[in-house]
Amino acid sequence: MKRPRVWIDLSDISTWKGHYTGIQRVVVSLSGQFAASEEDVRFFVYNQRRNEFLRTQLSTITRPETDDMPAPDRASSLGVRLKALMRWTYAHTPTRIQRVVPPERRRQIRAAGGKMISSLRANGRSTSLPTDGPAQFERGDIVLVLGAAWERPGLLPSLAKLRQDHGIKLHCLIYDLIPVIQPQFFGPGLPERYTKFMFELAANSDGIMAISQSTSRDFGTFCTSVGIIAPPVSVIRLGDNPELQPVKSVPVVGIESESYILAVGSFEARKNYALLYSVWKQAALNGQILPRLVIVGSKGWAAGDTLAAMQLDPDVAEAITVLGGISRARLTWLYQNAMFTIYPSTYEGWGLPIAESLAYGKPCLASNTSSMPEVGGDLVDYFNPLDPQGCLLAIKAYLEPGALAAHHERIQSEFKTTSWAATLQQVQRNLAGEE
Amino acid sequence: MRIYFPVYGNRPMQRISSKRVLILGTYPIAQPQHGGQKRTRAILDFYADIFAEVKYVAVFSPKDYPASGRDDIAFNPPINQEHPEDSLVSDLALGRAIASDPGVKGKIVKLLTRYRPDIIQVEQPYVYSGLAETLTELGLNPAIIYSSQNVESQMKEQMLTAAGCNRATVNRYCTQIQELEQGLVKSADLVIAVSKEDAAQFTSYGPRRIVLAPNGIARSVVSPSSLKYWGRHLAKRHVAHLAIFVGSAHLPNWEGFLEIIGPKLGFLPFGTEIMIVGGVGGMVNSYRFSPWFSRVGFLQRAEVVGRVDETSLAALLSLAKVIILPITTGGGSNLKTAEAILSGKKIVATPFAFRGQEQFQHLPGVDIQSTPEGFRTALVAALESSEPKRSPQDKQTAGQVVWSETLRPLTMEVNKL
Repeated sequence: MKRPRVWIDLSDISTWKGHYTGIQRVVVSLSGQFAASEEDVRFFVYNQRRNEFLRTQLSTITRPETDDMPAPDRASSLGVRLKALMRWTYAHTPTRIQRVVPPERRRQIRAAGGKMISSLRANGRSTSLPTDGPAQFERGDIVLVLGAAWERPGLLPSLAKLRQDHGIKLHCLIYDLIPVIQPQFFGPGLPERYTKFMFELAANSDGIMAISQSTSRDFGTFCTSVGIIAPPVSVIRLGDNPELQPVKSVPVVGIESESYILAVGSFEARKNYALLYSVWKQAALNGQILPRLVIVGSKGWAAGDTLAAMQLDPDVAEAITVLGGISRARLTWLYQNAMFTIYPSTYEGWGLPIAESLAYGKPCLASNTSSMPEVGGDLVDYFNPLDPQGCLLAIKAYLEPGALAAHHERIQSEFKTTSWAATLQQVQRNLAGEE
Repeated sequence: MRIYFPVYGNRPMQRISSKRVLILGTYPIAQPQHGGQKRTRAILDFYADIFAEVKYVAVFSPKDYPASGRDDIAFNPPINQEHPEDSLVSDLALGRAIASDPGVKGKIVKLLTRYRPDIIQVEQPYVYSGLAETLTELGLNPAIIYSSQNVESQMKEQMLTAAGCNRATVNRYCTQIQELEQGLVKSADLVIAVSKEDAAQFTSYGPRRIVLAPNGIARSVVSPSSLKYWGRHLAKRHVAHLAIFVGSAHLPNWEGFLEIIGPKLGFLPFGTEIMIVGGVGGMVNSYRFSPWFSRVGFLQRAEVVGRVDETSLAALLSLAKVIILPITTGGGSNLKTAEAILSGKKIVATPFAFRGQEQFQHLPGVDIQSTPEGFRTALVAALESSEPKRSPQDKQTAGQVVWSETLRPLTMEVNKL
């Protein structure tokens, strides 16, 4: 029987700046696998401003990654810069004029500013890349959404309408429901926007692929809570190595000759670096010397206090290094030369740094919550992300003579990386209704 | 003399009685919003066609009703720190104020002595507690009509229980109300009931005469500009098939919705929406959804627009595909049911919603469901199907819900007084 045509949404990566991170890597890797397979696959982007679907080519959208390509820098994004400008303007407005504006009105102005930024963002995400004209979806075609579709509020309603009116089949990959389940870790607006997105995704998808059992469970709980009969959900394992251009490692100046523990992940409250600060602080107060902690991650939401404490506290300032916006080449070097890695995140949909650590043959200590135990199984040791003492003990155990070597040996012999080709096969089985 | 011209009804009738009528209640009807106000207003207009002179006066709490008429008497019931739940039955205090509060009493005495009504109609029992005493003092003996759209003691029992009052408190208030109601039914020259069930209850109290006059509605005119506005509004929200729920800020309205439809609206397909119109919207907004995100989910398939003017309501009813009546408690017969019947739209309702209007249950497009599962399934089916087709006979039947028809039985009875 002829397989249905598959359309993959590339809207997410069509406007992406910097090197690809988590979700974008998945989109690029899986799209590449599809393009190389015998599937009848086509690609499209969604134009938010005109509410239209445009056919495109994968090669038009993706670009080779270079060694020195920086990570996306959220701090310099349009929205952040505009907000900063608005705050600066207000702060430099004479007090007597500020007082003229009543508090209620100030809230309204802030809300209007937020809306303006959202609108600019949405329009900014409307692609201006060359396309091959309108995407012609046909009844029975499969539309596959792999990226961060919640950033384009019009995309899912438009796909839902296509599904209702033209009989396409909608399949989506979901990464996590953290903004829904743990809204405290996100800025105002996102949890609600994400919940709306997840509601329509659950209500309008013919099939869901979750990247972990934990996410699958969270999705089931969400559907029950809002009264949706969940579409079929299958769990797929993502590839461990991004099948992008291979990169050579480049040393990071300043720590070439030191032993260090590596933590990778954006610097935001959910990643729980505050726990590592407490652990290093406690160790310093006890007179214990821990290796340097190197944290790699661009600055995210609500982590300013922790970052300031790490940089200003004399007990730990010399022992903790925070690096943001580094290239893949330097990240590779950091993985290759770390003693081991640590991942204290409070909640995850998967936990890519754990898999990366194992792929580089590096032992890993990780939180025992959500999806994280699924990634490394018993090759990883776990601690409670709310317990600094437990975390410190786990670190000290890894620092015992011979401990790391034993872990390293076990990882080398037992850890099996998952290829993106294997991930593609899981996706294909899912689309064929075999999983 | 104030002359009322009929707002409701098909044609003005010749006045057939030279009597003066005074209607007393506890809510103003200058801007009718809830069912009780609309019914009283309709009766007032209906009487204007029958009697030489008709006047309505409310003894009301301005906290609850900001808009009032020229003759209405404002009174703020005192706050009782020991019994804060008194505020839930403030009508009792309003009724007593007629005899006990010098300001209110003075105005009522002046009204009664100057206007000298031949007939006093008491809307709901409360005002009668003070009125009976005042009439005795003044030596006046007008004919009394008791009119109520509920059996008040039963309705307040449900309301107080739902508000979390303990059994002793509920009994304390409801016993007072029931005694007042029973006494009034017995002493009134005529009792007007809104449904067969209410009539049966009043009959058990021993009335002299009783007449059934179900709730009705006024025919509305749809404005093209309002239709356009709301049409655009729905398109922006991707709503192709609209269900509408209209309810006042009366707790049982929201409780009925929760019991029958529930706070989880994920069963509704994309492109459909339940629009929640009227004072009940305030209860939805203050409802504590748990977990937090279930509110967001609810609002993906429901929209709370709250109170709207009659023009907007007419437009929304016109745009709606389905009118839902998830009513499970309360007394009387529901004005919203009559509104839905006349609209010609599909109706998904509980059997309770058609209490007193059972004869309309068999009209095409009316689906009566008594279980939550059945109701939800019927709602989805109604949203996905085409408009019901009504024969001329069906249209005539549906036309019986307008006020001029539902209040017609009063003509003969009030003329006997």
